[in-house]
Amino acid sequence: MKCERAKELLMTDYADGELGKTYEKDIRQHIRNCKGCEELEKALKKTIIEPLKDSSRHTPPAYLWNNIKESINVKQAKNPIEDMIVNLGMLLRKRKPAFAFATAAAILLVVATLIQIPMSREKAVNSYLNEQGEFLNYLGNGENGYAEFNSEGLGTGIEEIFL
Amino acid sequence: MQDISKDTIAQAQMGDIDAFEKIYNVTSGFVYSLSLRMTSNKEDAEEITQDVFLKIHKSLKRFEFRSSFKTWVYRIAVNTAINFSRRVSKKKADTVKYDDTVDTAEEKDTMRDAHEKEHNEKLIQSMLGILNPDQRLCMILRNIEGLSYEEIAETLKVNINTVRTRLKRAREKLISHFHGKEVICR
Ligand SMILES: [Zn+2]
Repeated sequence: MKCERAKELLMTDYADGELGKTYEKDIRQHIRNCKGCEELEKALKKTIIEPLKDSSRHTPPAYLWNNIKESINVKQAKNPIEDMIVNLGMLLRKRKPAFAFATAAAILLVVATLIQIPMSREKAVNSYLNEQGEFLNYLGNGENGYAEFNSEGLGTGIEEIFL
Repeated sequence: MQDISKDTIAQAQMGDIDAFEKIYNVTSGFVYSLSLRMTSNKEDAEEITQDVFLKIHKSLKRFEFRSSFKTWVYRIAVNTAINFSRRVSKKKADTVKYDDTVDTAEEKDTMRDAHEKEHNEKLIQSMLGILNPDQRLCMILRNIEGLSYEEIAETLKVNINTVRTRLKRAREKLISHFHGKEVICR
């Protein structure tokens, strides 16, 4: 094995135990006969691999969970309806489209009736019913429509999270 | 990282905050440590950790058990941390100064052990500070968290050779820094 190749493997697959047994044997043999590579292997182990291996796990301060919990509660208190719709959507995704439509319509009827009781919230109810209309549209459109329906970005395609 | 049961995930998906807390208890050590290593700063690490768990909470309902939950959490954490680091490293020079307020978690250690650990922690942070965010992340996932090349590639959604190259460059940089270029180039 040539030095250049040996050094490359020493710094990658060999150091990380990702090398096959045959290659590993070749490299060990090379190190025995090559002072430069021997030195590189030692340096890697001593200054990089070992100190990092000994690093300790850190735990976040206890108040962090309380902060997170509070943020979640605030968000849910602000958007109880939206939350309910997401839950509903989740339930429906597990069903066949035709059946899902029927279920959605039924649940919607119940919800709409309940919502109309406090008439002072007419405005909110209207915008809510609009959303419901969009929601039904989504059911007609299938999975793709769902992301559009989610104006607040509730779609959780992992790529979306990272944008 | 300890495994999380499907039941716990399913309960959390339905809005059970206690189940979500279980998930937090198992995964927050990884998320916070990673954030701390990426930023060398407690406040930043807390901000990233909080952000990660709000993202997890928001998107949990659409997690469909097709991938492993662990990898899914890794990806959210890694992406949040690296975006943060890239933003920060654009603003300032790439070397991260060790923050003296960063301390190790285990308080039970004897004084001597604690001292050694502290020394090692400083060494680690100064090492990681030499690297760019992508290299730093690969080193953390491989050498601290013990992920395989394949797991790193999957977590970062990059080619396995990209992982290899980043690790190689990172180690070249570190070796040159601590031992001089001649150890590699001879
Ligand atoms: Zn050699």
